[in-house]
Amino acid sequence: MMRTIWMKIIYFILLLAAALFSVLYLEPFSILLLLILLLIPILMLLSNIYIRFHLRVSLQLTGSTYHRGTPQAVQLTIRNSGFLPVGRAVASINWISMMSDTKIPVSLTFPIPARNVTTVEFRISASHCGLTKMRMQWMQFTDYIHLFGWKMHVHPEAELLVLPGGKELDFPLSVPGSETDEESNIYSKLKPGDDPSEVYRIREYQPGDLQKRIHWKLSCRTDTVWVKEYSFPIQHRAAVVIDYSCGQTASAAAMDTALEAAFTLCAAFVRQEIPLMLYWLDAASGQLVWNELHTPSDLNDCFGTLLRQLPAKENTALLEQLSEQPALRSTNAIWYCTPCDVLSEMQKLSGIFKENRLHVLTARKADTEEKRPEHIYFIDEGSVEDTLRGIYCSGEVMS
Amino acid sequence: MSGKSRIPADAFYVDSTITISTKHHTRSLRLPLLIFLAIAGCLCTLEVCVSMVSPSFHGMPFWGISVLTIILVCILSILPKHLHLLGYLPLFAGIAAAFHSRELLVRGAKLFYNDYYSIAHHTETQFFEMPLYVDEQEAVTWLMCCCSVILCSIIARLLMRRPKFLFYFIMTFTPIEFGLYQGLAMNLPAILMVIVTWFGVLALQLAERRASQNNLRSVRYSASAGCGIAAIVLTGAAALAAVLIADRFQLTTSPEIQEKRQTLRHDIENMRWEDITGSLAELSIGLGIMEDPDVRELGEKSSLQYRNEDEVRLTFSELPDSGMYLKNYTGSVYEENALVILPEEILEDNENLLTLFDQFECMPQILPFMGSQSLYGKNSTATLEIEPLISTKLYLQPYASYNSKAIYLDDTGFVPVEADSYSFEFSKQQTYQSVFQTPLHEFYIPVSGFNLGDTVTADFFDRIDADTTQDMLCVTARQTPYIENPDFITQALQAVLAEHYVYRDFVYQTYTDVPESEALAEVYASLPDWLLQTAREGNDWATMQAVRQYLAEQSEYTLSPGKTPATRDFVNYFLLENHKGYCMHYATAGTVIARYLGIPARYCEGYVLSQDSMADGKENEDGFVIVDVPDSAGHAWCEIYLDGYGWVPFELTPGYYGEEMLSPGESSTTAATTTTAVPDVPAAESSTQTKTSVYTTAVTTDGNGNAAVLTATVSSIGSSSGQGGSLGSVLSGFLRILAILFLLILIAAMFVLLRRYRMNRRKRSFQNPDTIAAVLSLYRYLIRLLEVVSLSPGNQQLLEFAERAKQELNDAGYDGEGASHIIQLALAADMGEKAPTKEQLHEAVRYAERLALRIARNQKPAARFVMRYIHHLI
Repeated sequence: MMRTIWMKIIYFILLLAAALFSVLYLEPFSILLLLILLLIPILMLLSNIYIRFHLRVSLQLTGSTYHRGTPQAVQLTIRNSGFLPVGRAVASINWISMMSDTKIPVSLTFPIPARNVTTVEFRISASHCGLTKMRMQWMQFTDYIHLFGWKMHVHPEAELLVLPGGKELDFPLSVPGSETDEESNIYSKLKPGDDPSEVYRIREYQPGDLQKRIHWKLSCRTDTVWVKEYSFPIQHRAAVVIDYSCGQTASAAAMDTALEAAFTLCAAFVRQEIPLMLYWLDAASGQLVWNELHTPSDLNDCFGTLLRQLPAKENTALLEQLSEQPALRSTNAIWYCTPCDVLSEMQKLSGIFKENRLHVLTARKADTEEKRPEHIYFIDEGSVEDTLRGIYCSGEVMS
Repeated sequence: MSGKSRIPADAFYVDSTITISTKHHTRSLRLPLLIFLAIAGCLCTLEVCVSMVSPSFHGMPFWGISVLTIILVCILSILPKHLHLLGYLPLFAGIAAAFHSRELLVRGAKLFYNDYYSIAHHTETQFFEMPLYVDEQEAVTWLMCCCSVILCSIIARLLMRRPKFLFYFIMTFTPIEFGLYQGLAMNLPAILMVIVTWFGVLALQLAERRASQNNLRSVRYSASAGCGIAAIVLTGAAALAAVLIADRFQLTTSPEIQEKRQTLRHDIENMRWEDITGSLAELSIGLGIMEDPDVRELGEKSSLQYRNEDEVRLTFSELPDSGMYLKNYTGSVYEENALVILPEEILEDNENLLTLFDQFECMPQILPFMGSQSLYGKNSTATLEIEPLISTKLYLQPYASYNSKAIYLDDTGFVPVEADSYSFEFSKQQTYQSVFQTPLHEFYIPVSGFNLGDTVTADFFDRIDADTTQDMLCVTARQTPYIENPDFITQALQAVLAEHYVYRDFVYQTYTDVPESEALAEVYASLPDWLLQTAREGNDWATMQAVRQYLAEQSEYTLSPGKTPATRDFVNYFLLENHKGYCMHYATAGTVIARYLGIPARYCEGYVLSQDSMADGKENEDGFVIVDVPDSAGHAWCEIYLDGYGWVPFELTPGYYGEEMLSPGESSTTAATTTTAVPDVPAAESSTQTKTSVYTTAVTTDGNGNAAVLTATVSSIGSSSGQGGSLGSVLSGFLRILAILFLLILIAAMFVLLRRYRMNRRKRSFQNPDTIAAVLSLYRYLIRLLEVVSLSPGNQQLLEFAERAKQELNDAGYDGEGASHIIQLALAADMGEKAPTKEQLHEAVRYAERLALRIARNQKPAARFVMRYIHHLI
């Protein structure tokens, strides 16, 4: 922008000089020079108008979700269908983090050749989890002598969901209690069991299979012998509760830490095939939502759904609704991840989860002199992994 | 390709690497564009310089060397690594050549300056006197070649390496500005082309400005070349449109615009910081905000230049018998290095005179006309219509003329009723010799002839303060106040009476007044005794001749006398120190000295017409003669008062007078015996050692023995300004450039189309369903390809050649297996009628194409060009 102002000033001076020339020098050239200098801005303006109507801009992302801290490629594509190129264009793109409510403009400078499609690709890493929107504010291009800057107010948008990065834990997560519960009506999707009330799958007969498991009806209709495998009723041994009841008062960093801890735990449980339930309070309906996680894609989907709701308003109904959740009472280990200060809520929490092994991970800088209550762990951005290792190595989980 | 971008903190981190790519790979036209800019910029700048001076030189070697230098520098500048430094070689070669032949160069420079001097100062005089044996053309050509090599080397070199607008602008604009400043005519299309290249370079530089994006070079250069081309096209369109607009609306020839430009130019040129208020006031006058006080600043111009453009059109019913002065301005008061018209208050103080002017039309301007009628009879008059071409406020008045419709406000000029065109009746006798030699006679006018009972007549006599109690009124005049023409009898009598009784005294009171200053006192003190002695004798004519002689001895005529220092008196500096001047200097100094010696005198400006220039006029269908007066006919002279007759011109400028002068009485001893024109003799040079030749004088006499000035402008000067001066020539120049461009594009298109045709034909032959024919065609293509790397089968067996080709290609870093395979396939197909399969053929074609590209990549650009566009191998 500054450059066009300078060029305008210089051009104006040049115009004055030409006007002076046309008076001082009576040759036809001086008049022609003045005329040319008067006509050139008009032609430059017309060229800008022409270019404007031959530019199409779009924003693209290579994927819709990605993990925090990993760079994500973003493409700004400019299609110039005209025969006039642009020497210098500047695009301003606003990046809006819904979680931290921060808006940062990014400016890119690039040339646009004629009759071509120019792709400007750059990589961005988000610091915070949650929904991120990018919106082009404007694209400005200048004429060939930088007299006029033409600002195109086109606003292509793209959305990006930033998931927690997750830490890969280098130690096994053990959960006390039995793996199965015959009275459970939740069955494993990963392995067969002996509960005849539910068929896990039908497969071809293999030597060693019990005769009673042969699916006679099906085998009669086909030339192959099929056997039935029964399901494995699983005990929900672990649950992760994400509490964001403090709403927007929590800092984005604290929210990131809590989500990071929850994601790390979930990912570790899924990797070890430990049945896991993830609980959170739906921001829109105010109802408790729970999802069973078996695979990494389940994990991503669940967190995606959760993160789209953030940041949410303050809602204190979570503990109340958790207390009414019977399945949760039979869970062996509950990890309560929150960015909020839960010290005042400890009594209520202990009341709800008195029969369970409750571990509260709260995003807070640990004060060395502060004595933390039992089962409450202070975590910060860099200490998730160490905290979890500490918990497990100290045997607190199994005790 | 990567570039930098602003990296925000906090919520996001943008990777510093930005990649930019394009969907279609387009070849950058940057290099051809730079070559074009270098060639067009250099050649057009040279053409501008050449057209300014029009030196006498050999064109072919000059242009040839210039083009070769540019091409050589362009080629050397694109060499890889440090080899591009070889691009400075032509520059050093040019400097070395100049140093080696410095004597010839100096001679060339002097000759070139002589050409420039004659063009700039409209003179045939040579500034440097050169010996006759010097081969002018050789020396000038050598100088221009050296300069061209140096200039082209610098411009082309820096354009090719890094196009910088400022540098390019300075290099190319300097000669143009110089030409404009000196008022030299230049080749307009060439200048316009230079302007176009300015914007091309500027656009290129601005598009490539982001130095941090070095790695974006490919995309950036592609776009920047496009920007440069687009800027050139747009500026070219603007230039063309400007020419058409100027032509359509006559912007360069419109009298109104020219007048306004001239007025503003004068005001701007006279801007002085020490008198900024006055200067701004003058500018305001030029802009039409304030009225012009009609002041002539003296000594402000260092030189006088003419454009040789017609400024006035005259239509004569009959031509005068001699040359003619047309007065436009009368400077009556000399003060502070300026001449001003007679202040109104002086006239207002002479109430009687003003009344005589206003009510009785007893104008001194018309007195000579009446006198001429009295002397030569009423048939001695003709009509002259004056049509100003550049300024409608150009009020020109011939001597001994009368315009019944004009308004005569004072004793100097007039205001016509219609400014666009006005006419005079004028005396065809414009020489005044006989008038001057006619002594003052006493004429007695009987009072009884007047009706004194009439209040108007009584008022008239009251105003002139004549003693009407006497029977006769005695007046002195050069001719009888009784004229034949009955229309003017009364007016003539009144005018003579008014002149005798009132105006003559006023003239001697007013127009002999000289300013008192130390500087002028020094001038008066320096006047020689013989001049003062002549003045004491009381013969005005002899005194004025002596003044003229004194001025001629004291100074040298030149069109470039330099400016008068602000602290110096104009006349003092001219006569006592600088000793150089042109008509304005002579007329002013002569007027001041004449007044000091007691002769009423005034300074005048206008045009002077020679009899020859009027004779060259065109006769229209009504038999009238039309004469166009150029600006070079502009002149200044002195006007002296003849008692009983009026104001007559007196020439003081060397070169405008001689034995044959127009001035009154001068030819009395010689003119009567001379009957034929003397060949053009530079009278000024012979008599005053002046160097000008703008005007030459010769003697002609009419049947009455009256001499006339012949003033003739040098025709070559006029023709020089015609080069590129008119818009028609601009258009034709543009058309010529367009035609050349079109031709170049046509040739380029022919190359491209021919290549495309040959390529398509070859492709079709490779895809021939008859695979034998296809493989043989491929073989022929391969052989042509191998010839590029100096591999030819010659008389060798094909199998042996296949082996050799394989070996040599492998040695050269190519894959020779494929070539051998193709030769064997061709051999089998040709000899054994074994057709290759389509897959084999396809594979072979792909190999040949890959090989062609690799060979081309390893070739030099010129060889690659030949491969691509001459042999059509890739």
